[in-house]
Amino acid sequence: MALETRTDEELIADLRTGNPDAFGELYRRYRSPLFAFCARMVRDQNHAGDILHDVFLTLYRSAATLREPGALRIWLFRVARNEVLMSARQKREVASPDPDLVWDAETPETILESAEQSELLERGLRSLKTEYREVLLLREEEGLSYAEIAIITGDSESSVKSRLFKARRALATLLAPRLGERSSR
Amino acid sequence: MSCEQYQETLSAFLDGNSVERDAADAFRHLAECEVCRTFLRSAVELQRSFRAMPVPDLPTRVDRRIMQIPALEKARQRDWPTRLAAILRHRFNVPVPALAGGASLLLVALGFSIWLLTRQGLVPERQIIYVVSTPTVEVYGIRTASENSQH
Repeated sequence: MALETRTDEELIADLRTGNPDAFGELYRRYRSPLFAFCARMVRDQNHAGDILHDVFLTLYRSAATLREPGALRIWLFRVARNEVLMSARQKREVASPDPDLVWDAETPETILESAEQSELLERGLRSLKTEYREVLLLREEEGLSYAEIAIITGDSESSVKSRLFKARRALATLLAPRLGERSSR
Repeated sequence: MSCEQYQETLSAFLDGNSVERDAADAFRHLAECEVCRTFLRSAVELQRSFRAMPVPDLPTRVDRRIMQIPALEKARQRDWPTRLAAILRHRFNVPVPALAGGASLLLVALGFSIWLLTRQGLVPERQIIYVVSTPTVEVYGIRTASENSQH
């Protein structure tokens, strides 16, 4: 059977027997979404590449003991998210003491200087605090359900729902003036 | 319910995660609230913008590095002395030079013990054949079995 048609579970079974092609196929499947997630989380493509490497190294070493190979996607995102948080801790990124504060790096005023809407969104996203950015990316980019995001982040579904709303409201408020410009044209 | 609660319901509705009755209430509220209508419009636009957001390019060197993982890991598994040294160093905090020194001493002690045992093992082949006694000194002599047969 061609590798492309095999399920994640079957590929993990192949990987356990030492088939390097199975590893290559799993990498091909998940490299882009995982890299996009890491790159938007750490705001540095080189660093995101290093994290992606560590994620797949963990996969290779843990393949034999993986408990739910069928839920590989969620497992990979959880590993990636933990690696991102670990690297943030190593960089001594201190969390804001106010848990309701949504913005992290730039303020909405400086972000609004961006000309393009996609750039505006990218900058807005980059400026959100990690806990808001991660839920928004996992939902909007990856299309994961609240339950899946809750598994990845280790939070409750209601917490995911609330953070998602706050992140969305912050970015929606940021984008609203541009939307007004567009609708008035 | 406050506007914030209605907006949270609308946000969940966009994700297909709202309770039907709550969503119906929120939509009734929309008819009379410009703030919540603006929020919903912006949230929908935000979803569209996410779909249009360019995917970051993965550097080729990262691809190459990751595809080498199986081969490098197999080589690492074969290189067990290095792994053992790493485990000793990182997990048990034993520096490798100290360990090598200890192992060398152990080998020397073991060799010396074997030499002593071998030496003792030769004694039964020898016989005490004479004892010379003087008033102050006793001299014992030993000869091997072959030497003994010559006498």
